[in-house]
Amino acid sequence: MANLAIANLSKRKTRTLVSILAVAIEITLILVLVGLTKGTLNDVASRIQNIGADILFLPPGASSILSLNNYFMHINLKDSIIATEGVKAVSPVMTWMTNKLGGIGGNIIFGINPKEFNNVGGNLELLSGKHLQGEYDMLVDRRLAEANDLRLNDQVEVLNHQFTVVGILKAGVGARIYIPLTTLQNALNEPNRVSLFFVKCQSPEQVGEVASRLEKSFPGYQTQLSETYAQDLAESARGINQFISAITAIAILVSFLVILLAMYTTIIERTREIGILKALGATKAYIVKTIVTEAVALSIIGILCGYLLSFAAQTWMSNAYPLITIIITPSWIILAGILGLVSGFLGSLYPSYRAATLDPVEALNYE
Amino acid sequence: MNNILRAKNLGKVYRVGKIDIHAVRGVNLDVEKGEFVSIVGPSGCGKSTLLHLMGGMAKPTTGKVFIEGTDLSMISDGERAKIRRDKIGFVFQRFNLFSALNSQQNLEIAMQICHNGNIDHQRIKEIMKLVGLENKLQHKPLELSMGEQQRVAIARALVNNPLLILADEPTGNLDSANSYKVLYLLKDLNRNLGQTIVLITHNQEASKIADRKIEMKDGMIISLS
Ligand SMILES: Nc1ncnc2c1ncn2[C@@H]1O[C@H](COP(=O)(O)OP(=O)(O)O)[C@@H](O)[C@H]1O
Ligand SMILES: [Mg+2]
Repeated sequence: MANLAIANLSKRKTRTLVSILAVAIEITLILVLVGLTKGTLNDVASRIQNIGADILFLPPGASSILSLNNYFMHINLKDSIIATEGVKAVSPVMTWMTNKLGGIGGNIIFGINPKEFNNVGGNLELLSGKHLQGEYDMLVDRRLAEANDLRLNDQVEVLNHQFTVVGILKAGVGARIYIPLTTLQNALNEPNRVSLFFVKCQSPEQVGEVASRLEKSFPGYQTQLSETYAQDLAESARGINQFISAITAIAILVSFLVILLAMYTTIIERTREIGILKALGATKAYIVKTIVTEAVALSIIGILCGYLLSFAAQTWMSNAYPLITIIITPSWIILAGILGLVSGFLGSLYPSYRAATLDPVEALNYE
Repeated sequence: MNNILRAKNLGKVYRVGKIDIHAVRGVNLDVEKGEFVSIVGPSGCGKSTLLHLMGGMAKPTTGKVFIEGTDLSMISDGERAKIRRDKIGFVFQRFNLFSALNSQQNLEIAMQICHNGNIDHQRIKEIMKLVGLENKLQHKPLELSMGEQQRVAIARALVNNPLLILADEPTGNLDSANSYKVLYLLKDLNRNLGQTIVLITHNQEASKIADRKIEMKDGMIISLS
């Protein structure tokens, strides 16, 4: 069946390609950004939850996003926490965000006492090597090791000290880097301080009670249940969601404007064709339909290209940056597709209205 | 009633800046079913304007046009579009085919508009055969000669079986051999199928093909034969 809209797509190749590209980039931007955020939050949350502790005990003012923390508390609190009814084990941890620059930069380091960490559930599983023993021993997880080409017995400099990689861990539990607690405390010049305590309860049913007991005994201090960590993290990451919404809105706006411009130039260029349609007796609705169909066809091709581009970006990023996780969910694929369609549809409304209301004779005589 | 088209005291004024151009003045005209009428006159005398008024493409400044008794000034833009769609086939000097579509698709568009998307392929073949181009269905306009393009345009005007064909200088862009082909095609359509045709031309010679000749000058009809 003859379709003027589709025939015109192949006639104006550059315009068609630019419009398709605009929509494809819109889709890719949305999917990759959302996927990146989701992937990162998911990764952070699941690593904390995989430790197996029941409660995170945090100093006043601290954020549950551990890498943002600058607050410390005295290690002596440990004894009082252990003494609390229902608490089975406590593990003090010092966290430190490595410098953004350099090989292992941008990662959180946990300073731990291996035995205590083990007691709260943190079963660190070695893939090779041994656990922390010496003062400057370091454990790294498999993904970090692969990303930075680290092997057993390699030397890594952190806080002006040379550490030796003594073990490679299975990824996905706690931090990607572990060193002894005292070493990190000394390096930071905070010998008796820690960033948080992981708390293990005597039975899972008591977790809620224990948490409120702790908050009562230590006014101002905070407890974060491991079970709800993912949820709470997502909520405290609202700023990120606003940022995503802003970028998404801009992406939609840009592709809306590109489609608008493309369709507007199209109808100017094809004014005479619109005049012919009018002479043939096409109603306004028919003309609107023709222009909107063309824009929607452009959008659909753009959306499909955007999907391909997104998956290509996902594959490429996970190869180039092994520590990055991008999660592209079916619901976001559908949502991004709908947004692409809507922006294409809206972008064609004004041009199609202009086309439909042209004067038939003037349109026909247009040079 | 055999009256297909009636123009009553038809007038059209274009306002350009502060000057009024009276393109058509006080035209009275009747076209009966089965007639082949030519309107002839020098360039700029208002022929195209008159044709646009008769076909409901433009609104008159004064007077009225009736198509099969329907007063075009009393109906909406949309209803005028439907009159064009259902009752009128336009043929233009510049052919006005869709350049991205082949002959068959050009006819399909006209059919789509008229029949809500339904396409009668058999009818398209028949009409293309009628204009002698049954072997050019898949050709795009630029792959056809000018004479052939105009015959495709005539086929497109015919495809919905219009009450009236309005042809505005259909031979204006053609050499004499092709002009004759087109004029005799129109003549055949009128004779054999009883197709009602109004032919507009500035060429006295071409106007003779019609059964009735109307002469125009300065927007007015100066003689009816
Ligand atoms: N849209 C317009 N605006 C102003 N003047 C016009 C317009 N269309 C036609 N005219 C004028 O009206 C007169 C009749 O034009 P037209 O109907 O095209 O004549 P013809 O078809 O006989 O050559 C001419 O003087 C022409 O310049
Ligand atoms: Mg003219």
